[in-house]
Amino acid sequence: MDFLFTGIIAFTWKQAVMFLVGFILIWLAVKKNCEPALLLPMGFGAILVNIPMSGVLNQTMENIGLTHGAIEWLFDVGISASEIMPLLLFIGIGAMIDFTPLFKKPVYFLFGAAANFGIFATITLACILGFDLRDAASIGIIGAADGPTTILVSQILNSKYLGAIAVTAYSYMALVPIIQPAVIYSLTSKKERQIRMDAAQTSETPKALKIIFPIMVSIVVGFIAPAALALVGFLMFGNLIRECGVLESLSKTAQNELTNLITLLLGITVSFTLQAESFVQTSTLIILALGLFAFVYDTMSGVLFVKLLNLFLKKKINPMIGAAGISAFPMSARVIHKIALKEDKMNAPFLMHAVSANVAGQVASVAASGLVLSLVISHLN
Amino acid sequence: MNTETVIASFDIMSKGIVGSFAVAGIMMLLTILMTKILCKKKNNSCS
Repeated sequence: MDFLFTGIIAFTWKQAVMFLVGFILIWLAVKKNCEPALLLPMGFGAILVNIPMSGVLNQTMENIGLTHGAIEWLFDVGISASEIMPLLLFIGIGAMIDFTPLFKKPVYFLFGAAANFGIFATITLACILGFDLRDAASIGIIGAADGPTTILVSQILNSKYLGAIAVTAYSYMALVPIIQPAVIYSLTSKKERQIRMDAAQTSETPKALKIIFPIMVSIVVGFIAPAALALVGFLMFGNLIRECGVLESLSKTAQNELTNLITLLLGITVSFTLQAESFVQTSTLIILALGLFAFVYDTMSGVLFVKLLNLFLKKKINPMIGAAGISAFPMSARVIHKIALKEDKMNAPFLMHAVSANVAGQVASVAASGLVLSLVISHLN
Repeated sequence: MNTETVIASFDIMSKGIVGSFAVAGIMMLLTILMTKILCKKKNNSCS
């Protein structure tokens, strides 16, 4: 009857820790509604991949040889071989984004750039803490506040911390409603938070601009950071499908079926990287701390950038709009709008400004990730 | 801590920040320009 206990005997304390991590992720998803579409599959996957001799991973068995596991196969094909899963998800995300508010306030592109400084500051801090350049860059991308981008860049740079990085990115994205208000309150005065924003222009955006925009972004980012072309190209391809006006059915499929299908598989596929031996390390705790630093620094730099601009502007901008320049869309805009209304109930037009900055953050995070890829690759060569 | 890696990270930070602003600036200017051209074509109907 020994065979009944083989699995239990082979069970290690590190795998027990990963079970706990899995349960925590499922609890966060179910009870706290934190990024449930990703954290729940990742949590369940963390349990599956940490059962000794798990059939979801490749195993070499006596007298049989190599058997292939489904989750390892999904990871090899969907992420490791071509990064196709996050890229396909980008088509869906691109199809969901409406850039119209940004066309009305193009200056907010700069807010998006400012609110991504956390990426670069975190890379430097991670290097100071002893991570090599590939891993430091992958950790820094947590500051892009965009799950698929984080997974994609970490995979391209072949980081050994992909699991910890993915868990950190999604966890902090879910914690935006806690992190951002804390940083905003510490950096702004009540008077600054009460700065009233003008109502949006109601003029119509030319349809041609909506069609040209995704092509224009792909070309500009492609020439400046060609390593990011897959990232930007797939995002903008999705947006082009949305805006062209002749592919409504494909646009809806990208927004719903494609996104749901890839999201369904992405979480459980990434759980391949949540194996005890590579996850239960001190470095995971450091990555969690660095991820928090990235989010805090992003918010801080966004707010401080607007405060700096205000020194030169006659008509002041509410500095909280700078914080919406991070990529967590649309959560960041909503959270900040809520604070604005709490400070001044008549500041309803604030929402459009926050959404514009938030959309700019989407473009900026992808561009920044592309720049990181290009710069890291050039340093490694 | 590897000094060379840290120096490289500072280089990435400075170039990355400049690059991010360059991309954002180009996008901003192109968007303004395209809006002006396209609106002019429509006899300023969107301004």
